[in-house]
Amino acid sequence: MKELKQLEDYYKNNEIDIEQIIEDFTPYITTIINNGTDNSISFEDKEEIYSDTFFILWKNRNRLNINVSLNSYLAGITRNLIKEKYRKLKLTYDISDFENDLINSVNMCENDRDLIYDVEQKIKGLKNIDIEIVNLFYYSSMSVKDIAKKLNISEFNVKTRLHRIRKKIKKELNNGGI
Amino acid sequence: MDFDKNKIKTKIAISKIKEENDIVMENKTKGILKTAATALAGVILSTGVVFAGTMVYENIWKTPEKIELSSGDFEEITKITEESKKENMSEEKAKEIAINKLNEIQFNSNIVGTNHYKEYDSNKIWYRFDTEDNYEISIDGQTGEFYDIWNHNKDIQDLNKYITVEEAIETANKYYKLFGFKEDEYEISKIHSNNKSGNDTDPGFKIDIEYCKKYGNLENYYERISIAVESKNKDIDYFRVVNIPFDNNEVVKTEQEAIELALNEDKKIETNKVESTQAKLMVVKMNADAYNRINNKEKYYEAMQTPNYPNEERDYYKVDDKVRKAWVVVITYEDNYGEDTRKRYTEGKYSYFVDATTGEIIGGHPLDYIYSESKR
Repeated sequence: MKELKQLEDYYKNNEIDIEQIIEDFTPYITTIINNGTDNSISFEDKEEIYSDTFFILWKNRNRLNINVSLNSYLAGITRNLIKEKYRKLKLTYDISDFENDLINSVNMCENDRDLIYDVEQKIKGLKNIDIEIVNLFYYSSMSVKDIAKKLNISEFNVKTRLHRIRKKIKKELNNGGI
Repeated sequence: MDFDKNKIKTKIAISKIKEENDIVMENKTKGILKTAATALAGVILSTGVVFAGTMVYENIWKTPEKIELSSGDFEEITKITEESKKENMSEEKAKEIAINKLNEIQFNSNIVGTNHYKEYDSNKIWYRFDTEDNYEISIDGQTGEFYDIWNHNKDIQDLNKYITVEEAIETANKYYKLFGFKEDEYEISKIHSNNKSGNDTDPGFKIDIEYCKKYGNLENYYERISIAVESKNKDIDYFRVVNIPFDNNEVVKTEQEAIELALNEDKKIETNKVESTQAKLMVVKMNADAYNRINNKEKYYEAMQTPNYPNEERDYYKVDDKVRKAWVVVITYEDNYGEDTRKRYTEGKYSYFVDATTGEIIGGHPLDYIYSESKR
Protein backbone atom coordinates (compact mmCIF):
# COMPACT_ATOMS: atom_id res chain seq x y z
CA MET A 1 0.00 0.00 0.00
CA LYS A 2 1.10 3.53 -0.76
CA GLU A 3 1.50 5.22 2.63
CA LEU A 4 -0.56 8.27 3.57
CA LYS A 5 -1.95 9.03 0.19
CA GLN A 6 -4.48 11.80 -0.02
CA LEU A 7 -7.81 11.53 -1.76
CA GLU A 8 -6.55 14.13 -4.22
CA ASP A 9 -3.97 11.65 -5.50
CA TYR A 10 -6.77 9.39 -6.68
CA TYR A 11 -8.62 11.77 -8.94
CA LYS A 12 -8.45 11.08 -12.66
CA ASN A 13 -10.39 13.28 -15.11
CA ASN A 14 -12.37 14.70 -12.19
CA GLU A 15 -13.49 11.21 -11.22
CA ILE A 16 -12.33 9.28 -8.21
CA ASP A 17 -10.27 6.24 -9.24
CA ILE A 18 -11.96 3.78 -6.92
CA GLU A 19 -10.38 0.82 -8.71
CA GLN A 20 -6.90 2.01 -7.76
CA ILE A 21 -7.99 2.81 -4.21
CA ILE A 22 -9.35 -0.72 -3.81
CA GLU A 23 -6.11 -2.12 -5.22
CA ASP A 24 -3.88 -0.01 -2.96
CA PHE A 25 -5.88 -0.17 0.27
CA THR A 26 -7.23 -3.73 0.31
CA PRO A 27 -4.33 -5.07 2.46
CA TYR A 28 -4.73 -2.14 4.88
CA ILE A 29 -8.49 -2.57 5.28
CA THR A 30 -8.18 -6.35 5.53
CA THR A 31 -5.70 -5.91 8.40
CA ILE A 32 -8.00 -3.51 10.23
CA ILE A 33 -10.94 -5.89 9.85
CA ASN A 34 -8.97 -8.93 10.95
CA ASN A 35 -7.43 -7.14 13.93
CA GLY A 36 -10.67 -5.42 14.87
CA THR A 37 -12.90 -8.50 14.90
CA ASP A 38 -12.93 -11.92 16.49
CA ASN A 39 -14.46 -15.24 15.54
CA SER A 40 -17.96 -14.15 16.51
CA ILE A 41 -18.07 -12.28 13.20
CA SER A 42 -18.43 -14.57 10.17
CA PHE A 43 -16.31 -14.32 7.03
CA GLU A 44 -19.37 -13.14 5.09
CA ASP A 45 -19.93 -10.32 7.58
CA LYS A 46 -16.29 -9.31 7.39
CA GLU A 47 -16.54 -9.31 3.61
CA GLU A 48 -19.60 -7.09 3.90
CA ILE A 49 -17.64 -4.65 6.06
CA TYR A 50 -14.81 -4.70 3.54
CA SER A 51 -17.05 -3.96 0.55
CA ASP A 52 -19.14 -1.40 2.45
CA THR A 53 -15.99 0.50 3.42
CA PHE A 54 -15.11 1.25 -0.19
CA PHE A 55 -18.73 1.74 -1.12
CA ILE A 56 -19.20 4.40 1.57
CA LEU A 57 -16.01 6.14 0.47
CA TRP A 58 -17.30 6.17 -3.11
CA LYS A 59 -20.71 7.49 -2.01
CA ASN A 60 -19.00 10.31 -0.08
CA ARG A 61 -16.56 11.11 -2.86
CA ASN A 62 -17.90 14.61 -3.40
CA ARG A 63 -18.04 15.68 0.23
CA LEU A 64 -14.68 14.61 1.65
CA ASN A 65 -11.67 16.85 2.11
CA ILE A 66 -9.39 15.84 -0.73
CA ASN A 67 -6.29 17.01 1.15
CA VAL A 68 -6.77 14.65 4.06
CA SER A 69 -5.06 11.28 4.22
CA LEU A 70 -7.17 8.53 2.72
CA ASN A 71 -5.89 6.12 5.36
CA SER A 72 -7.72 8.09 8.04
CA TYR A 73 -11.01 8.11 6.19
CA LEU A 74 -10.88 4.44 5.32
CA ALA A 75 -9.80 3.38 8.81
CA GLY A 76 -12.57 5.49 10.31
CA ILE A 77 -15.24 4.03 8.05
CA THR A 78 -14.05 0.45 8.61
CA ARG A 79 -14.01 0.77 12.38
CA ASN A 80 -17.43 2.38 12.38
CA LEU A 81 -18.75 -0.50 10.35
CA ILE A 82 -17.18 -3.03 12.73
CA LYS A 83 -18.79 -1.24 15.66
CA GLU A 84 -22.13 -1.20 13.88
CA LYS A 85 -21.86 -4.92 13.11
CA TYR A 86 -21.20 -5.79 16.77
CA ARG A 87 -24.10 -3.61 17.82
CA LYS A 88 -26.42 -5.37 15.33
CA LEU A 89 -25.29 -8.77 16.56
CA LYS A 90 -25.74 -7.56 20.15
CA LEU A 91 -22.17 -8.49 20.98
CA THR A 92 -19.70 -6.43 22.94
CA TYR A 93 -16.19 -6.00 21.72
CA ASP A 94 -13.56 -3.49 22.62
CA ILE A 95 -12.74 -1.03 19.89
CA SER A 96 -12.20 1.85 22.26
CA ASP A 97 -8.91 2.79 20.63
CA PHE A 98 -10.92 4.21 17.78
CA GLU A 99 -10.83 7.97 17.84
CA ASN A 100 -11.33 9.70 14.54
CA ASP A 101 -12.99 13.09 14.21
CA LEU A 102 -12.86 12.90 10.45
CA ILE A 103 -15.56 10.25 10.42
CA ASN A 104 -18.10 12.89 11.47
CA SER A 105 -17.95 14.24 7.94
CA VAL A 106 -18.74 10.84 6.43
CA ASN A 107 -22.30 9.85 5.65
CA MET A 108 -22.50 6.15 6.52
CA CYS A 109 -25.41 5.73 4.06
CA GLU A 110 -27.29 3.22 6.28
CA ASN A 111 -30.49 3.29 4.25
CA ASP A 112 -28.72 2.89 0.94
CA ARG A 113 -26.59 0.07 2.27
CA ASP A 114 -29.57 -1.85 3.62
CA LEU A 115 -31.44 -1.44 0.37
CA ILE A 116 -28.48 -2.40 -1.77
CA TYR A 117 -27.78 -5.40 0.47
CA ASP A 118 -31.39 -6.58 -0.07
CA VAL A 119 -31.08 -6.15 -3.83
CA GLU A 120 -27.76 -8.01 -3.82
CA GLN A 121 -29.43 -10.97 -2.11
CA LYS A 122 -32.26 -10.92 -4.64
CA ILE A 123 -29.97 -10.95 -7.66
CA LYS A 124 -27.64 -13.63 -6.36
CA GLY A 125 -29.28 -16.18 -8.63
CA LEU A 126 -28.48 -14.25 -11.79
CA LYS A 127 -25.99 -15.61 -14.26
CA ASN A 128 -22.38 -14.53 -13.86
CA ILE A 129 -22.39 -12.95 -17.29
CA ASP A 130 -25.33 -10.71 -16.37
CA ILE A 131 -23.63 -9.46 -13.22
CA GLU A 132 -20.42 -8.92 -15.16
CA ILE A 133 -22.22 -6.88 -17.81
CA VAL A 134 -23.85 -4.68 -15.18
CA ASN A 135 -20.54 -4.17 -13.42
CA LEU A 136 -18.72 -3.33 -16.64
CA PHE A 137 -21.42 -0.91 -17.74
CA TYR A 138 -22.14 0.86 -14.47
CA TYR A 139 -18.97 0.40 -12.45
CA SER A 140 -16.30 0.43 -15.16
CA SER A 141 -18.31 2.81 -17.41
CA MET A 142 -17.55 0.70 -20.48
CA SER A 143 -19.62 1.17 -23.62
CA VAL A 144 -21.92 -1.56 -24.90
CA LYS A 145 -19.58 -1.95 -27.85
CA ASP A 146 -16.53 -2.48 -25.65
CA ILE A 147 -18.39 -4.88 -23.37
CA ALA A 148 -19.47 -6.89 -26.40
CA LYS A 149 -15.88 -7.03 -27.56
CA LYS A 150 -14.53 -7.97 -24.14
CA LEU A 151 -17.06 -10.74 -23.56
CA ASN A 152 -17.07 -11.81 -27.19
CA ILE A 153 -20.81 -11.49 -27.58
CA SER A 154 -22.91 -9.31 -29.85
CA GLU A 155 -23.80 -5.74 -28.91
CA PHE A 156 -27.41 -6.78 -29.18
CA ASN A 157 -26.84 -9.55 -26.66
CA VAL A 158 -25.24 -7.07 -24.26
CA LYS A 159 -28.13 -4.62 -24.69
CA THR A 160 -30.75 -7.30 -24.12
CA ARG A 161 -29.10 -8.65 -21.01
CA LEU A 162 -28.37 -5.18 -19.67
CA HIS A 163 -31.94 -4.12 -20.21
CA ARG A 164 -33.36 -7.14 -18.45
CA ILE A 165 -31.12 -7.02 -15.41
CA ARG A 166 -31.52 -3.25 -15.07
CA LYS A 167 -35.26 -3.74 -15.10
CA LYS A 168 -35.01 -6.46 -12.47
CA ILE A 169 -32.78 -4.33 -10.21
CA LYS A 170 -35.07 -1.32 -10.57
CA LYS A 171 -38.02 -3.50 -9.68
CA GLU A 172 -36.23 -4.75 -6.58
CA LEU A 173 -35.20 -1.20 -5.67
CA ASN A 174 -38.77 -0.01 -6.00
CA ASN A 175 -40.05 -2.96 -3.96
CA GLY A 176 -37.54 -1.89 -1.34
CA GLY A 177 -39.49 1.27 -0.71
CA ILE A 178 -37.99 3.98 -2.88
CA MET B 1 -9.06 -15.96 2.60
CA ASP B 2 -9.36 -12.91 0.33
CA PHE B 3 -12.43 -10.72 0.24
CA ASP B 4 -14.32 -10.52 -3.04
CA LYS B 5 -13.63 -7.19 -4.73
CA ASN B 6 -16.50 -7.76 -7.16
CA LYS B 7 -18.95 -7.15 -4.33
CA ILE B 8 -17.82 -3.52 -4.22
CA LYS B 9 -18.30 -3.18 -7.96
CA THR B 10 -21.80 -4.62 -7.79
CA LYS B 11 -22.74 -2.32 -4.89
CA ILE B 12 -21.57 0.71 -6.84
CA ALA B 13 -23.32 -0.53 -10.00
CA ILE B 14 -26.62 -1.00 -8.12
CA SER B 15 -26.19 2.41 -6.54
CA LYS B 16 -25.76 3.98 -9.97
CA ILE B 17 -28.88 2.21 -11.21
CA LYS B 18 -30.66 3.56 -8.13
CA GLU B 19 -29.52 7.10 -8.97
CA GLU B 20 -30.74 6.59 -12.53
CA ASN B 21 -34.04 5.27 -11.19
CA ASP B 22 -34.41 8.20 -8.79
CA ILE B 23 -34.08 10.67 -11.64
CA VAL B 24 -36.67 8.80 -13.67
CA MET B 25 -39.06 8.69 -10.73
CA GLU B 26 -38.55 12.38 -10.05
CA ASN B 27 -39.14 13.44 -13.59
CA LYS B 28 -42.02 11.04 -13.89
CA THR B 29 -41.15 10.53 -17.49
CA LYS B 30 -41.98 7.34 -19.17
CA GLY B 31 -40.34 6.52 -22.42
CA ILE B 32 -42.91 4.43 -24.06
CA LEU B 33 -42.61 2.78 -27.38
CA LYS B 34 -44.68 -0.23 -28.08
CA THR B 35 -43.62 -0.88 -31.60
CA ALA B 36 -40.60 -0.50 -33.78
CA ALA B 37 -41.91 0.78 -37.06
CA THR B 38 -40.18 0.05 -40.28
CA ALA B 39 -40.47 2.68 -42.95
CA LEU B 40 -39.25 2.85 -46.46
CA ALA B 41 -37.34 6.08 -46.96
CA GLY B 42 -37.72 6.85 -50.63
CA VAL B 43 -36.42 3.44 -51.53
CA ILE B 44 -35.65 2.52 -55.05
CA LEU B 45 -34.65 -1.08 -55.23
CA SER B 46 -32.08 -1.31 -57.92
CA THR B 47 -31.89 -4.57 -59.76
CA GLY B 48 -29.54 -3.62 -62.54
CA VAL B 49 -26.33 -5.05 -63.76
CA VAL B 50 -22.79 -3.78 -63.71
CA PHE B 51 -20.05 -4.22 -66.28
CA ALA B 52 -16.70 -5.32 -65.04
CA GLY B 53 -14.18 -6.01 -67.75
CA THR B 54 -15.86 -8.12 -70.42
CA MET B 55 -18.20 -9.87 -68.01
CA VAL B 56 -21.59 -8.74 -66.81
CA TYR B 57 -22.23 -9.14 -63.10
CA GLU B 58 -25.47 -8.63 -61.27
CA ASN B 59 -25.57 -5.72 -58.85
CA ILE B 60 -25.46 -6.87 -55.29
CA TRP B 61 -26.00 -3.53 -53.59
CA LYS B 62 -29.59 -2.46 -53.08
CA THR B 63 -30.67 0.87 -51.67
CA PRO B 64 -31.28 -0.04 -48.04
CA GLU B 65 -34.48 0.30 -46.07
CA LYS B 66 -34.44 2.91 -43.36
CA ILE B 67 -35.58 1.54 -40.04
CA GLU B 68 -37.12 3.79 -37.45
CA LEU B 69 -36.14 2.82 -33.96
CA SER B 70 -36.79 4.53 -30.68
CA SER B 71 -35.36 4.45 -27.20
CA GLY B 72 -38.61 3.05 -25.83
CA ASP B 73 -39.24 -0.06 -23.86
CA PHE B 74 -36.67 -2.56 -25.07
CA GLU B 75 -38.40 -5.35 -23.21
CA GLU B 76 -41.53 -4.79 -25.25
CA ILE B 77 -39.67 -4.57 -28.55
CA THR B 78 -37.88 -7.87 -27.97
CA LYS B 79 -40.96 -9.77 -26.90
CA ILE B 80 -41.94 -12.62 -29.20
CA THR B 81 -45.03 -11.64 -31.18
CA GLU B 82 -47.57 -13.74 -33.06
CA GLU B 83 -46.23 -12.19 -36.26
CA SER B 84 -42.64 -13.18 -35.48
CA LYS B 85 -43.75 -16.73 -34.65
CA LYS B 86 -44.96 -17.09 -38.24
CA GLU B 87 -41.46 -16.36 -39.56
CA ASN B 88 -39.68 -18.78 -37.24
CA MET B 89 -39.80 -22.43 -36.38
CA SER B 90 -41.80 -23.45 -33.34
CA GLU B 91 -40.29 -23.52 -29.88
CA GLU B 92 -40.82 -27.29 -29.80
CA LYS B 93 -38.80 -27.77 -32.99
CA ALA B 94 -36.01 -25.51 -31.69
CA LYS B 95 -36.01 -27.41 -28.42
CA GLU B 96 -35.65 -30.68 -30.30
CA ILE B 97 -32.63 -29.26 -32.18
CA ALA B 98 -31.11 -28.02 -28.91
CA ILE B 99 -31.57 -31.42 -27.23
CA ASN B 100 -30.05 -33.22 -30.22
CA LYS B 101 -27.04 -30.89 -30.15
CA LEU B 102 -26.62 -31.36 -26.39
CA ASN B 103 -26.76 -35.13 -26.81
CA GLU B 104 -24.27 -34.96 -29.68
CA ILE B 105 -21.75 -33.17 -27.49
CA GLN B 106 -22.54 -35.44 -24.54
CA PHE B 107 -24.04 -32.72 -22.31
CA ASN B 108 -26.99 -33.12 -19.98
CA SER B 109 -29.93 -32.37 -22.30
CA ASN B 110 -32.57 -31.85 -19.64
CA ILE B 111 -34.05 -28.40 -20.36
CA VAL B 112 -35.17 -26.58 -17.22
CA GLY B 113 -35.80 -23.03 -18.41
CA THR B 114 -35.99 -20.68 -21.37
CA ASN B 115 -34.98 -17.13 -22.17
CA HIS B 116 -36.20 -16.57 -25.75
CA TYR B 117 -36.36 -13.20 -27.42
CA LYS B 118 -37.01 -11.52 -30.75
CA GLU B 119 -34.40 -9.30 -32.39
CA TYR B 120 -35.30 -5.64 -32.00
CA ASP B 121 -34.97 -4.82 -35.70
CA SER B 122 -36.32 -7.99 -37.29
CA ASN B 123 -38.66 -10.87 -36.63
CA LYS B 124 -35.87 -13.36 -35.99
CA ILE B 125 -36.34 -15.28 -32.76
CA TRP B 126 -33.43 -16.54 -30.73
CA TYR B 127 -34.47 -19.60 -28.79
CA ARG B 128 -32.40 -19.92 -25.62
CA PHE B 129 -32.70 -22.96 -23.39
CA ASP B 130 -31.21 -23.43 -19.92
CA THR B 131 -30.04 -26.93 -19.08
CA GLU B 132 -30.13 -28.69 -15.76
CA ASP B 133 -26.33 -28.41 -15.57
CA ASN B 134 -26.58 -24.64 -15.93
CA TYR B 135 -25.56 -24.26 -19.56
CA GLU B 136 -27.45 -21.99 -21.93
CA ILE B 137 -27.83 -23.07 -25.56
CA SER B 138 -29.08 -20.78 -28.37
CA ILE B 139 -30.79 -21.82 -31.59
CA ASP B 140 -31.51 -19.50 -34.53
CA GLY B 141 -35.31 -19.61 -34.98
CA GLN B 142 -35.11 -18.96 -38.72
CA THR B 143 -32.33 -21.28 -39.82
CA GLY B 144 -32.58 -23.81 -37.02
CA GLU B 145 -28.79 -23.65 -36.65
CA PHE B 146 -27.03 -24.02 -33.34
CA TYR B 147 -25.47 -20.67 -32.39
CA ASP B 148 -23.77 -20.95 -29.02
CA ILE B 149 -23.55 -22.56 -25.64
CA TRP B 150 -22.53 -20.80 -22.42
CA ASN B 151 -21.39 -22.24 -19.15
CA HIS B 152 -23.34 -20.33 -16.51
CA ASN B 153 -22.14 -22.30 -13.53
CA LYS B 154 -21.06 -20.11 -10.68
CA ASP B 155 -17.43 -19.80 -9.70
CA ILE B 156 -16.01 -21.30 -12.86
CA GLN B 157 -13.36 -18.64 -12.91
CA ASP B 158 -10.31 -18.71 -10.72
CA LEU B 159 -8.34 -15.57 -11.45
CA ASN B 160 -5.31 -16.95 -9.67
CA LYS B 161 -5.12 -20.22 -11.57
CA TYR B 162 -3.55 -20.01 -15.00
CA ILE B 163 -3.44 -22.44 -17.89
CA THR B 164 -1.07 -22.34 -20.82
CA VAL B 165 -2.19 -21.51 -24.34
CA GLU B 166 -1.27 -25.07 -25.38
CA GLU B 167 -3.55 -26.53 -22.71
CA ALA B 168 -6.38 -24.25 -23.81
CA ILE B 169 -5.92 -25.22 -27.47
CA GLU B 170 -6.04 -28.89 -26.48
CA THR B 171 -9.41 -28.39 -24.76
CA ALA B 172 -10.72 -26.19 -27.59
CA ASN B 173 -9.70 -28.77 -30.20
CA LYS B 174 -11.47 -31.48 -28.19
CA TYR B 175 -14.74 -29.52 -28.35
CA TYR B 176 -14.16 -28.52 -31.97
CA LYS B 177 -14.15 -32.23 -32.87
CA LEU B 178 -17.01 -33.02 -30.50
CA PHE B 179 -19.18 -30.46 -32.27
CA GLY B 180 -18.53 -32.32 -35.51
CA PHE B 181 -16.18 -29.96 -37.36
CA LYS B 182 -13.62 -31.43 -39.74
CA GLU B 183 -9.94 -31.12 -38.98
CA ASP B 184 -8.95 -28.66 -41.73
CA GLU B 185 -12.28 -26.92 -42.11
CA TYR B 186 -11.28 -24.01 -39.86
CA GLU B 187 -7.90 -22.69 -38.75
CA ILE B 188 -6.93 -20.95 -35.55
CA SER B 189 -6.79 -17.27 -36.43
CA LYS B 190 -6.54 -15.56 -33.08
CA ILE B 191 -5.71 -16.33 -29.47
CA HIS B 192 -6.36 -14.00 -26.59
CA SER B 193 -5.13 -14.84 -23.12
CA ASN B 194 -6.75 -13.05 -20.18
CA ASN B 195 -3.95 -12.47 -17.70
CA LYS B 196 -2.10 -9.81 -15.80
CA SER B 197 0.82 -9.59 -18.23
CA GLY B 198 -1.36 -8.51 -21.14
CA ASN B 199 0.57 -10.86 -23.44
CA ASP B 200 -1.63 -13.14 -25.55
CA THR B 201 0.87 -15.98 -25.61
CA ASP B 202 1.29 -16.09 -21.82
CA PRO B 203 -0.80 -18.38 -19.61
CA GLY B 204 -4.13 -16.93 -18.45
CA PHE B 205 -7.19 -17.64 -16.34
CA LYS B 206 -9.38 -17.59 -19.45
CA ILE B 207 -8.15 -18.08 -22.99
CA ASP B 208 -10.22 -17.18 -26.06
CA ILE B 209 -9.48 -19.10 -29.23
CA GLU B 210 -10.92 -18.16 -32.56
CA TYR B 211 -11.04 -20.41 -35.63
CA CYS B 212 -11.83 -18.97 -39.06
CA LYS B 213 -12.38 -20.43 -42.50
CA LYS B 214 -9.64 -19.39 -44.88
CA TYR B 215 -9.82 -18.72 -48.61
CA GLY B 216 -6.25 -18.56 -49.81
CA ASN B 217 -4.73 -15.92 -47.59
CA LEU B 218 -8.08 -14.39 -46.70
CA GLU B 219 -9.61 -15.05 -43.32
CA ASN B 220 -13.38 -15.00 -43.16
CA TYR B 221 -14.46 -13.65 -39.78
CA TYR B 222 -18.08 -14.39 -40.66
CA GLU B 223 -17.42 -18.13 -40.77
CA ARG B 224 -15.84 -18.62 -37.41
CA ILE B 225 -15.90 -20.63 -34.23
CA SER B 226 -15.09 -18.95 -30.95
CA ILE B 227 -14.20 -20.99 -27.91
CA ALA B 228 -13.22 -19.73 -24.47
CA VAL B 229 -11.47 -22.10 -22.07
CA GLU B 230 -11.43 -21.37 -18.34
CA SER B 231 -8.56 -22.38 -16.13
CA LYS B 232 -10.37 -23.71 -13.07
CA ASN B 233 -11.69 -26.89 -14.64
CA LYS B 234 -9.89 -26.54 -17.97
CA ASP B 235 -13.30 -26.58 -19.58
CA ILE B 236 -15.26 -24.39 -21.97
CA ASP B 237 -16.72 -21.09 -20.87
CA TYR B 238 -18.55 -20.77 -24.19
CA PHE B 239 -18.59 -22.22 -27.69
CA ARG B 240 -20.01 -20.19 -30.56
CA VAL B 241 -20.48 -20.78 -34.27
CA VAL B 242 -20.96 -17.82 -36.60
CA ASN B 243 -21.94 -18.88 -40.09
CA ILE B 244 -23.12 -16.18 -42.48
CA PRO B 245 -23.14 -17.47 -46.07
CA PHE B 246 -20.12 -16.27 -48.02
CA ASP B 247 -20.38 -15.58 -51.75
CA ASN B 248 -16.67 -16.25 -52.34
CA ASN B 249 -16.95 -13.85 -55.24
CA GLU B 250 -14.38 -13.48 -57.94
CA VAL B 251 -11.73 -10.78 -57.65
CA VAL B 252 -12.16 -8.77 -60.84
CA LYS B 253 -11.26 -5.26 -59.75
CA THR B 254 -7.63 -4.37 -59.22
CA GLU B 255 -6.38 -2.53 -56.18
CA GLN B 256 -5.86 0.65 -58.20
CA GLU B 257 -9.34 0.48 -59.69
CA ALA B 258 -10.80 0.06 -56.22
CA ILE B 259 -8.95 3.11 -54.93
CA GLU B 260 -10.25 5.18 -57.84
CA LEU B 261 -13.81 3.98 -57.23
CA ALA B 262 -13.58 4.88 -53.56
CA LEU B 263 -12.13 8.32 -54.31
CA ASN B 264 -14.88 8.99 -56.85
CA GLU B 265 -17.51 8.07 -54.28
CA ASP B 266 -15.83 10.29 -51.72
CA LYS B 267 -15.99 13.29 -54.08
CA LYS B 268 -19.78 13.33 -53.56
CA ILE B 269 -19.26 14.94 -50.19
CA GLU B 270 -17.09 17.70 -48.86
CA THR B 271 -14.08 16.48 -46.95
CA ASN B 272 -10.58 17.66 -46.18
CA LYS B 273 -8.06 17.16 -48.97
CA VAL B 274 -7.04 13.53 -49.40
CA GLU B 275 -3.57 12.96 -48.03
CA SER B 276 -3.11 9.25 -48.76
CA THR B 277 -4.88 5.98 -49.52
CA GLN B 278 -4.29 2.39 -48.58
CA ALA B 279 -6.10 -0.73 -49.83
CA LYS B 280 -6.36 -4.35 -48.77
CA LEU B 281 -8.41 -7.26 -50.06
CA MET B 282 -10.59 -8.55 -47.21
CA VAL B 283 -13.78 -10.47 -46.48
CA VAL B 284 -16.39 -7.96 -45.31
CA LYS B 285 -20.05 -7.85 -44.43
CA MET B 286 -22.18 -5.48 -46.44
CA ASN B 287 -23.42 -2.47 -44.44
CA ALA B 288 -25.04 0.94 -44.87
CA ASP B 289 -22.32 3.04 -43.24
CA ALA B 290 -20.92 4.59 -46.42
CA TYR B 291 -24.43 5.08 -47.79
CA ASN B 292 -25.46 6.86 -44.61
CA ARG B 293 -22.34 9.07 -44.64
CA ILE B 294 -22.72 10.04 -48.27
CA ASN B 295 -26.39 10.86 -47.88
CA ASN B 296 -26.20 12.86 -44.70
CA LYS B 297 -22.64 13.61 -43.75
CA GLU B 298 -23.44 16.30 -41.20
CA LYS B 299 -25.84 14.15 -39.25
CA TYR B 300 -23.57 11.13 -39.58
CA TYR B 301 -20.73 12.92 -37.78
CA GLU B 302 -22.97 14.85 -35.41
CA ALA B 303 -24.39 11.55 -34.12
CA MET B 304 -20.84 10.27 -33.66
CA GLN B 305 -19.49 13.38 -31.97
CA THR B 306 -22.39 14.26 -29.67
CA PRO B 307 -22.40 12.52 -26.29
CA ASN B 308 -25.70 10.77 -25.55
CA TYR B 309 -27.05 11.50 -29.02
CA PRO B 310 -30.65 10.22 -28.86
CA ASN B 311 -31.13 6.81 -30.43
CA GLU B 312 -34.40 7.83 -32.02
CA GLU B 313 -32.56 10.53 -33.95
CA ARG B 314 -30.02 8.15 -35.43
CA ASP B 315 -30.40 6.69 -38.90
CA TYR B 316 -30.63 2.91 -39.08
CA TYR B 317 -30.81 0.91 -42.28
CA LYS B 318 -31.62 -2.67 -42.99
CA VAL B 319 -29.09 -4.33 -45.28
CA ASP B 320 -29.00 -7.92 -46.56
CA ASP B 321 -26.65 -10.24 -44.69
CA LYS B 322 -24.10 -10.54 -47.48
CA VAL B 323 -20.48 -11.42 -46.98
CA ARG B 324 -18.20 -10.59 -49.90
CA LYS B 325 -14.62 -10.19 -50.94
CA ALA B 326 -13.98 -6.48 -51.17
CA TRP B 327 -11.14 -4.03 -51.41
CA VAL B 328 -11.08 -2.03 -48.22
CA VAL B 329 -9.84 1.42 -49.21
CA VAL B 330 -8.76 3.64 -46.33
CA ILE B 331 -8.66 7.34 -47.17
CA THR B 332 -6.62 9.57 -44.88
CA TYR B 333 -7.48 13.26 -45.01
CA GLU B 334 -5.20 16.20 -44.45
CA ASP B 335 -5.03 17.02 -40.76
CA ASN B 336 -6.14 20.59 -40.10
CA TYR B 337 -8.20 19.75 -37.03
CA GLY B 338 -5.86 21.59 -34.67
CA GLU B 339 -6.92 21.06 -31.06
CA ASP B 340 -10.19 19.44 -32.10
CA THR B 341 -9.26 15.85 -31.33
CA ARG B 342 -12.90 14.81 -31.45
CA LYS B 343 -13.00 15.68 -35.14
CA ARG B 344 -9.59 14.17 -35.82
CA TYR B 345 -10.62 10.81 -34.39
CA THR B 346 -13.92 10.71 -36.23
CA GLU B 347 -13.34 12.52 -39.50
CA GLY B 348 -9.60 12.02 -40.03
CA LYS B 349 -10.02 8.81 -42.05
CA TYR B 350 -12.71 6.78 -43.74
CA SER B 351 -12.76 3.21 -45.08
CA TYR B 352 -14.81 2.22 -48.13
CA PHE B 353 -15.70 -1.38 -48.97
CA VAL B 354 -15.40 -1.74 -52.74
CA ASP B 355 -16.87 -5.00 -53.98
CA ALA B 356 -14.05 -7.00 -55.57
CA THR B 357 -16.28 -8.25 -58.39
CA THR B 358 -18.70 -5.45 -59.24
CA GLY B 359 -16.79 -2.43 -57.94
CA GLU B 360 -19.86 -1.22 -56.08
CA ILE B 361 -19.52 0.50 -52.72
CA ILE B 362 -21.07 -2.13 -50.47
CA GLY B 363 -20.22 -0.64 -47.09
CA GLY B 364 -17.83 1.39 -45.04
CA HIS B 365 -16.35 2.03 -41.68
CA PRO B 366 -15.47 5.21 -39.78
CA LEU B 367 -11.68 5.57 -39.58
CA ASP B 368 -9.22 2.78 -40.47
CA TYR B 369 -10.92 -0.61 -40.90
CA ILE B 370 -7.67 -2.37 -41.86
CA TYR B 371 -6.06 -1.26 -38.62
CA SER B 372 -9.05 -1.92 -36.40
CA GLU B 373 -9.45 -5.44 -37.82
CA SER B 374 -5.77 -6.17 -37.22
CA LYS B 375 -6.38 -5.33 -33.54
CA ARG B 376 -9.60 -7.31 -33.27
